[in-house]
Amino acid sequence: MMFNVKKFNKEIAALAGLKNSGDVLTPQEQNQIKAQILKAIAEPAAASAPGYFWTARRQKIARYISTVILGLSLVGGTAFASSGAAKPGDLLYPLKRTKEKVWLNLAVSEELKASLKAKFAQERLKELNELLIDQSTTNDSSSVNQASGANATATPGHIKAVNSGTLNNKHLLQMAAKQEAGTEVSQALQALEQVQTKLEANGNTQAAISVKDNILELRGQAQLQHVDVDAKNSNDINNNNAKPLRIDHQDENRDSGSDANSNLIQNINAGAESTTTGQTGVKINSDLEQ
Amino acid sequence: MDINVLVVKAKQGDSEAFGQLYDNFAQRIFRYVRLKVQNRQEAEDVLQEVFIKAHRGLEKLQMENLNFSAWLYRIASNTINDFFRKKYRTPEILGIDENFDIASHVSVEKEITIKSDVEMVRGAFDQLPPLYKQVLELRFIQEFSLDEIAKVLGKSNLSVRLLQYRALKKVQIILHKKPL
Repeated sequence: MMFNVKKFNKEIAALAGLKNSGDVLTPQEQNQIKAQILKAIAEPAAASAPGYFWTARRQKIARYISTVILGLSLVGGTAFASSGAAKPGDLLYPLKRTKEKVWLNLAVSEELKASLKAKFAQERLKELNELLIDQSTTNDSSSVNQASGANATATPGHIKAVNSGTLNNKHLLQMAAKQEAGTEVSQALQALEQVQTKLEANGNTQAAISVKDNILELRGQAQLQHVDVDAKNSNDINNNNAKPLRIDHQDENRDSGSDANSNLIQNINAGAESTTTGQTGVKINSDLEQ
Repeated sequence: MDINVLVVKAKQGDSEAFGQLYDNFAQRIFRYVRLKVQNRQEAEDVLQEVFIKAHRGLEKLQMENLNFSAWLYRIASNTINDFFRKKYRTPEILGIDENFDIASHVSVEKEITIKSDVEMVRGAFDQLPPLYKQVLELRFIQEFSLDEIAKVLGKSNLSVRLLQYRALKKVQIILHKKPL
């Protein structure tokens, strides 16, 4: 018979004797590992009980894809690098947003995530500013109110629609960009506030003050752009009177520079005095700078 | 309590039952992991990962003709491979080295103070390539069938028999210098 092991009976018997020898876990180690396992399996179960496995798998796939995209952006450079200056409606804009998602996905610490969110929120504001400049230079005479109705709402989905050419409407694009900016600024402010709270709790006052400065700066930038943020984040700036969506077509005179925020903190007060934005409303007017 | 009963309970979300399954298998799986993962701390991490993966897999585990032990060892094998893949970013080269040179390793005479047969066999066992150790561990210490080992290692029955034969032969050669 092939590979007959009968001739190894002596060795087999000796090997069977190894059952109780070798490296073993001490009861303490065993219990420690058990506690860690039970903790690990309890956490995801609480988060999303039935679909956890699939969710984790999808996250894994997303991470791989993100890594590949990141690799392409770092190594290849060309298209991805060019996408940095893209604004809503541009061909490379989706790439730019994907890159941002990748960076966010790769950020491990809460602090880094908050910092990135703030950076991307500023980018949204900058894009919005550029869209407004575009509008003023092309001297487009149609008003946003005409395009969308006084109480229309713009959603991020509109950006895709405009990108795909189904809606060639700059006003709608602006509205969507403004709403997107509002969402991202709100999220960034929330993340920064959490970090600030955490730092204060840890007694790291200096760093907390620094984060607070960033919060004020971002709020100021949003205020200058007339971008509405969540009530939670704008309590100390706005009166939060809910207003319907209204976009005045008088943006030509507004300060159009992307670096126009150098005097942000000072401008916050001026903006708060001259502008009232609502919880759901978006208001664009040129009065602020005048 | 019967293992399969515990598995059913664990499948239904009973973490205490899963804890009991862990208690039943932790030492054996740890031994198995240690056959390939030399660093103790890393082996403990792998052990933890094995049970977390097992818990995730419970949902889809078919109870019909279930051999939970073999299933768990299979997870352990995969987790060990994943561990090395992550560690070295290259697939692990399994240790089937026909020209395995005993003399090139720490010699049995120097390494082991031979006080008993068990210690001597342990010494010989430790000199084997990892894959041989896995096969012998599963076959003669954990008493798995050849088919079960084939499933655990993802190999054919014939491959396992061949590995088993070669591993035993190697043990014999090592022990020949210090007969039982």
